[in-house]
Amino acid sequence: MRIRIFGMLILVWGLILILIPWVLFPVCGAGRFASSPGHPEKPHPCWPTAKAETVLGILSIGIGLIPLLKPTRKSILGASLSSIIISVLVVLFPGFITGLCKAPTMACRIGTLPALVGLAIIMLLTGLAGLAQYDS
Amino acid sequence: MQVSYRLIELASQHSLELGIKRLGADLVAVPRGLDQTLEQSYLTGEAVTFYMDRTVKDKIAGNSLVEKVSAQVFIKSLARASCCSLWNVYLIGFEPESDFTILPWLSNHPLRKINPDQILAGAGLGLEEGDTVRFYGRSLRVAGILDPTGMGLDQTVFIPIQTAYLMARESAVKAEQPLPLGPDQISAVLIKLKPARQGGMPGYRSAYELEKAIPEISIIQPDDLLVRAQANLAGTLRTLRSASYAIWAITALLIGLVFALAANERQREIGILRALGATQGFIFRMILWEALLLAGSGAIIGLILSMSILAGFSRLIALSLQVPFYWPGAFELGLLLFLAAVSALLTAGVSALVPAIQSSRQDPYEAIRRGE
Repeated sequence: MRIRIFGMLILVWGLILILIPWVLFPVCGAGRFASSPGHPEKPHPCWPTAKAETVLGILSIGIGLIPLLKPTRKSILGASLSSIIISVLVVLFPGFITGLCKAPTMACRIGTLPALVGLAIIMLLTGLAGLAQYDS
Repeated sequence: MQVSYRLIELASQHSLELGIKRLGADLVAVPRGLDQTLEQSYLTGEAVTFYMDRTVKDKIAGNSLVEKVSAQVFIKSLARASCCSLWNVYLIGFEPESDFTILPWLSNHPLRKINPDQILAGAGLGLEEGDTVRFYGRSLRVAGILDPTGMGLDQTVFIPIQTAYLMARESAVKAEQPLPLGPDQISAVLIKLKPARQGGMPGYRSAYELEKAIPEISIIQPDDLLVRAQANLAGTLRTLRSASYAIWAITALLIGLVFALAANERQREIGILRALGATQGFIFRMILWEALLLAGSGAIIGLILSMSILAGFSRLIALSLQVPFYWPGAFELGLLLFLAAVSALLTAGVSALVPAIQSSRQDPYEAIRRGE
């Protein structure tokens, strides 16, 4: 049962990771910051980050499904390690790999980035808790 | 929650004090009816553009209450234009020869003078000294970065007013859209009043006299910014304050209830301890210490979480509430956190008093019998 709970948590974090850059704390020109119809938005530097986080979210959902469908010690080990790696990537993408818009007051910096960092910490803690569960 | 609302209040006040000090002027004159527009702009950094004739500055300078004046012109950079490297940025053209708001900052800086092709940038733009930016097709170099205030001024670029006029003149050729600014237009006049010993009047009286003498202007006083920020915050703070008091009361009741239940569950254990020689005082202290330890650890986790969320989302909170935000000093912050922790411990201590007293007064035999 506990293994399934970890799987469910990783799946939910993945879902939230997809929602953050598009709905919850949207990047520039997306969600509630999108321009009106008929005025196409010029691509912002933060869009590749949003797409990368979406991919990581989908990966996280897939990884979370494994302990749900096959609740074994090995599956929780794999899912926990993957969750830790994904949490590191969640921070690396906006910080170093794909980047964000330059101005500190842009939506991607004031909302999306702190939300991603917060979720990365939660995913890291979940992964560590899963490893502890595996050890016990 | 109490920490959150108190911190937002403190940070907003701190930011306003810094911002008003940076403003430097006793009064600011703008075209009639546009005072609230500019106040909101100072708080949020959202660029506003309006103009009046330069002769207004001469009229104000000629008033007997005024010691010195300096004109400013407000420009907004183009959005989604290749001729502007920063979009929708607030550009303020200022007069270096008569300015008394930016120059005091320059006097503390190695750069004592600003050249026509140089700008000063607010701390919130992510620029560094030496960076080159383009506005309306004109390249300008960042000569210095102003200290942060947490107000809209942090997202502002200060440019010599003659450069602004030149930029407007050349924009028809160099920019994607021309800048509609004539050389005889200004947006605001910063006013330094004469001190009382030289025949000056208090700010509010001077504002009234100036508006009466020059009907085409409205006057902003720095205190107006404070009032506006407080008005923006009032509703939110009231909600947060009420919610925090309600949660506090419910939490106190819940703690008392939980400890009463816990003490009831542990009657046999308490009875055995009493039978083995534990005094009433020992039992009382044991239950109280447990309550304080749990409350203390909860307070630490809660404070870390709330501070992390506030630190991460401070800019979003400031923009959403339309108030300035600048972290208060370490001492004020430390005091706030300390008082929050103490209130959590006191609440737990008071709530656990009744169960602690009741448990300590129980007869050992009765306690063991009831616990079986």
